[in-house]
Amino acid sequence: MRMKKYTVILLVIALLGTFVLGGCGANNPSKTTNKGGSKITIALQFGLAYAPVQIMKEKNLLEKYLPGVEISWKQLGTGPAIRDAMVTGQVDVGFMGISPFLIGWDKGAEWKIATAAGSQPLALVTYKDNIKKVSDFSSTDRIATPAVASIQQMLLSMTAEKELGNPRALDNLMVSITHPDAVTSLLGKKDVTAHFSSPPYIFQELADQDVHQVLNGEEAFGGEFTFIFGVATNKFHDTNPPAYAAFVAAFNEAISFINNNPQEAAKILAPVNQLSEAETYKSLTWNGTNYCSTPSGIIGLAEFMKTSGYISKVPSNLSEIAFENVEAAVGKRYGEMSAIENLQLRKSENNGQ
Amino acid sequence: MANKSKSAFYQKALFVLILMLLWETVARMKFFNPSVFPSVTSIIIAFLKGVSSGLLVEKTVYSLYLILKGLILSFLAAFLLSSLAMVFRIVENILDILNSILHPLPGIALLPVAILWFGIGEGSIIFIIIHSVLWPMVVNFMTGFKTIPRIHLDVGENIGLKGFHLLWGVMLPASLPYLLSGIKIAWARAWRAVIAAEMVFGAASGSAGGLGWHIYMTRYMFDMAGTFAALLAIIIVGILVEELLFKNIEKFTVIKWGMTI
Amino acid sequence: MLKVDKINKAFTVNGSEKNILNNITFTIEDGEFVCILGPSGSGKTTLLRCIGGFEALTNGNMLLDGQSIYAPGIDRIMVFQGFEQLFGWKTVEANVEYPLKINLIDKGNRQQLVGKYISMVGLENYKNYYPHQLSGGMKQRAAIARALALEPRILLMDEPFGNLDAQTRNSLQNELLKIWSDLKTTILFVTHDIEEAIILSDRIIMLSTSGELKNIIPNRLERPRKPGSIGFAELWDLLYNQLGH
Repeated sequence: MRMKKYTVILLVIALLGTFVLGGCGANNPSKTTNKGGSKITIALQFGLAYAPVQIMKEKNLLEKYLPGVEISWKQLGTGPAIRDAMVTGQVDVGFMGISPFLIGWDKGAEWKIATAAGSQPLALVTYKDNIKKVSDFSSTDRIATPAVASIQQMLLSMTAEKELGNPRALDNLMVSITHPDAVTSLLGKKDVTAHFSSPPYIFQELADQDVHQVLNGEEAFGGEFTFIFGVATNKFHDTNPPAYAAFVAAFNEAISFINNNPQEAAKILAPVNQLSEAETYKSLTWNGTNYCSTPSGIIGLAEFMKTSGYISKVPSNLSEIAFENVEAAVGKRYGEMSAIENLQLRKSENNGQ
Repeated sequence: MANKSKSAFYQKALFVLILMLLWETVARMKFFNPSVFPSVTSIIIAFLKGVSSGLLVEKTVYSLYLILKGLILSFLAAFLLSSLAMVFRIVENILDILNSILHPLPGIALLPVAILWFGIGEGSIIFIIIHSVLWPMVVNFMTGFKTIPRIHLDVGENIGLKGFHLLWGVMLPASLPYLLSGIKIAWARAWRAVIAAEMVFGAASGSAGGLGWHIYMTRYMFDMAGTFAALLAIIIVGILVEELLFKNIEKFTVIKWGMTI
Repeated sequence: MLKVDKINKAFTVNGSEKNILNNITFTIEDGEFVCILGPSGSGKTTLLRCIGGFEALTNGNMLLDGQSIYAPGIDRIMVFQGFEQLFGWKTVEANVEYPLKINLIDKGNRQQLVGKYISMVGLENYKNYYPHQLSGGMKQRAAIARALALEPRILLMDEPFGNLDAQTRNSLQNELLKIWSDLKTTILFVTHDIEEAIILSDRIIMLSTSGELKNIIPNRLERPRKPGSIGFAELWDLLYNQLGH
């Protein structure tokens, strides 16, 4: 009896609340960090793929282009984690792989590529003597990749499509484990037969005399491709042009520094990446390493992600997924596409280019 | 008696309803980005889709299978170890120090060890489940055994029970309240362990993976409604097991006997 | 039939040895109702537990029907103090039946014995109740039924009515006496209550605070005994003085 009265009162309050609040709440801007040039939050992950960001941080390059700026650096573990932080307005610029970026873009996240970070040489290595090409794998073999929809997994699918006629042919062989765990497993020669690896992990693996390379990323993709990008929220780009420009300039300077002074860069980067200076230098100058702010292969990757079902649409042109500085770096040639525009596509047998 | 539980049910249901309304309100206000904070309706839609396509069901069953395997093995181990510890002082001391060392470690921290010993398949997940579940079980079982009134054991010996028969006939039923409590704790812990472990090992066993893997996948694919739908599945299973299994077991044992802790 | 010969029992307390029982000797005859009376700390319970086989002697020995006793056995069933001696997970009937079951008495005999002794303690209407549903007095009656069902040579009772209120205690004492006279069973009953000792016993074994056998006093008062019966007060005074007051 008394219960009933309370029940009714509570329900009425709740319903009223839903109507009133639901009506008056527009897009409530949550914690913005980018008002008028004074504060930027940048998120990165662990590893030498993020070397330019690390150099930016260690050499205080951003402060050079934007004096008085307050920078908040965040190191997060995964692309999705950075994505969640960016979508909720807690991070302005985040570095991640192509997959988390495009999946977010596909689902309506308001962000675009501010810069490419570069490419690291990816290679498929195995300890099994008899495996010389992908068709040599049997159903009991296991290939380690760092994550679902990672670039490594996509490269494997591309190879499967090319050599076995079916992009999903290797699906059941793929296992997702982190690079360090994969190295341990591979060298333990138990469950993991192969690993899509990269520096510095690949050094440890190749040091074992049983381990050899089966193919590398560019062979699989059919050309060059960037897979780590600096992504900025539309809000940051639109409401804080000086900070955005400063970021782009500082990042470019960082890349330039690494490319021209690898020895010095190795000295700075070694403690940040918990490697020796020698190993760092080796990684920075390993065959296939390319720190570059202009992307390559992104349309090709987007198309592959669509056919694999990770995203529902392909960007019809670069401006949908990249800011003006990136567009400008790629350019637009009337008549035949320029070399750099072509570089964004994937060269398969079909393209014949 | 029936009235009390009926009104309790209504109170709980009402509270949940209000929570859901609040959630929906906040979601619709777009206070948080909808990609990260999906509305109740979108979660329910994702849930129904997952159930009708069989996907959620399949993944839930797989996670449950792993949990059951881990729980059964842990139960047997815990029972054996606790019984031995009651008989042999040295076993009790060893268990004590092992508990102090291992219990504080979260299962996920032992991942690299698991990979080394058990490879990257199901074995590692079961290992992590057992590690998360074994120590609270052992503690509960030991407490259960130790709090058996001395007089029960005297009576048992008096009427001719010894050794295994005393264990089975007196000690086991007498410590049932603590055994059940240990199992309930283990059940909750096993869920946490399996979800966390699956997020790492999920697709390694070659099968479609369980709920933890599903959560990982939906998160990667930026499908928060799907993630919450998986959480909803976990909640539902939890409630079902609690209401249908545990409550009934307790009703027909410790409650009937007036032996609740 | 029970012979206790120069027994000693020592416990180690805080590193030093304390002698609880000191050189105790007595015999019990078939069908007797003997009470062990003494102040608290006199070792009454320890004595009973030694006879029950729950404690090991330091010195001396005990014989039942000529056989040495040193471990628990179904020929000496103990009814303990306190209300936790019944198994909470069994009904009254199951509690009484259980000892018979594990001693491999066949079903037919079991049912007959269980029925007989449950009736004898007046719990027929409660045989399907669980211990937590019984009052204190009923629990002790059930425990007595369980003890009797095995038809032991000697029934050991350790202040079984100590936790009950006076009225319940009185009625249980009377019930016990009735059972004893019907069955002619041998009972060794520990108490600190002088009145109880007078009401129940044929003989009273008195222990001193130092754990020695002070005296064995025969009780020849006519049954039934009530405070106010002839000789009651005198015996009471005697026992009271013996207790060292």
